[in-house]
Amino acid sequence: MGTSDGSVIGITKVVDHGDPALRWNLVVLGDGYQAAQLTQFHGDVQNFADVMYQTPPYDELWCGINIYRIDVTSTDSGADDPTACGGTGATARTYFDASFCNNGIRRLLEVNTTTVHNVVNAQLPQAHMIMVIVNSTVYGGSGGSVATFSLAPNAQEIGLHEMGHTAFGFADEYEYYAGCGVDPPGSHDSYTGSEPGQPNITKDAGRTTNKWHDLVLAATPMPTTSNANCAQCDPQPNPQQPSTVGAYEGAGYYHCGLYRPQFTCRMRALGNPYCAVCQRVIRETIGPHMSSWTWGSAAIAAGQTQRWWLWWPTYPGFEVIGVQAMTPGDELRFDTPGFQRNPDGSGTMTITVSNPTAVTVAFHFRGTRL
Amino acid sequence: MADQETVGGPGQPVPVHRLTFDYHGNQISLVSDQVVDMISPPRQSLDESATVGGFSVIVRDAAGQALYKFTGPSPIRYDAEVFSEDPSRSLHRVAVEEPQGTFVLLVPHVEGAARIELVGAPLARRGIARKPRRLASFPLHPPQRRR
Repeated sequence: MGTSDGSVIGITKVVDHGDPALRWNLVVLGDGYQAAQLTQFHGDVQNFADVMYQTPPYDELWCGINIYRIDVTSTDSGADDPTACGGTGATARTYFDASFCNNGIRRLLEVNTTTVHNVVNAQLPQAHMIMVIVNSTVYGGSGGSVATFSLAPNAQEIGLHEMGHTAFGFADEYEYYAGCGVDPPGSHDSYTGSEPGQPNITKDAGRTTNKWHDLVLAATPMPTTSNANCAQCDPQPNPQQPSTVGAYEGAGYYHCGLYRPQFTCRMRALGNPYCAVCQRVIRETIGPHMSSWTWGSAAIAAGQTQRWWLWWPTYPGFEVIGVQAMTPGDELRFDTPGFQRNPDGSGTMTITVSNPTAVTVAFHFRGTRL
Repeated sequence: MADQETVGGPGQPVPVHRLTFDYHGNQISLVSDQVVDMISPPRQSLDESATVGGFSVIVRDAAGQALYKFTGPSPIRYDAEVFSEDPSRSLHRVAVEEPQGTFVLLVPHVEGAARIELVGAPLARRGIARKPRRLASFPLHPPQRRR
């Protein structure tokens, strides 16, 4: 089974924000779709695009993102599902050779990544992230250089988690390897290595030296949680508000000695939002792919008002998130006194940002300060 | 706090190497080097004295001086992430019996670049942290064709 069991039909840009040389490009391929099922594949890709668009911070970065679909047909529908793992025993002749039951685990759904990369290198060498949707409703997926997931409910979460690893360099934030109480005793108790290179875990819980210390409020304890028994996963509930950034012990497959930024995150367990640190890295990575506006972090002093200007050259819907408060618990007020669609199809908008609070508030922006 | 403390502008396309590697265990081979115009991938500090664990891509000049460095998770799969519909244990890992596969790295072309070096922890199975070392090194040719 393999490339003799189907063919590459072509590539289509389904979310078009411009030249792939300028944008951050996601490519989605399908496996186990027969020619007559390509329309279904188109819908499956659109469904993932919709999920991604609703996932912060991709929503506010949307104008910097292109999504491409590569249509690939297979002789058979679905994927191999060996009985050895409790599967149906189905065998499917597919282009990327999708199969459950890798390493003896039914949910470990993999494809031939060499073939996937060959196709993408030929079709869109500017690709930043590659995903394969497998036409099966059995829950499963895998990560690595190609994120793979099935059509089971919530399997798209696998794609979002794996995109965190592959495209943005995030570490896993869970504190076990095989599982709490499953790992051999002593194997994952306390981390003693060097500082991890990944942006979302650290061995340093110091208030002024921690990697993400600028996001930690003065009232937040550092470390924010400590595991009282490093021989096991920390059972304590979150003592802080869910949005509180701090240093929570237990991350990177270790019960102790490594810290994560928030109590939970999509990189710790599926179905959660990306934490504030992960969101910042995503903004910093995709930000340079945005159009003519500048981007970054700014602050507005207590009682002050600022005016910002935003412009998008040709995007027909002209959607702007604009500025977003990022300091938990503080509220900025936004007003959009001016919006105009220009004769050339571009749009301009002015936004007024006011800070009614008694403290300086930081926020993310895309735009130009007037 | 300054009114505007961090600002990035829109990027401009530069020549970027799309490097495709095959690996089997610790044996890594470079199978293709496509040069395309893209926004430059992110770069990190070149300070090699800092002990930072992970998988690093380092571009060096002919004298061995680092010109570009990026550290992230290893693209070599010594283990696999397994997903469960059980929300209390939606993620965990299993060791891969025979690590092999293909991965792609995007590396900006830097003037004077002569080699690319891959540094990581060999066979870092079961999530156990090990000391990184040089895994492979390949010549990096100047761009000959653009997109």
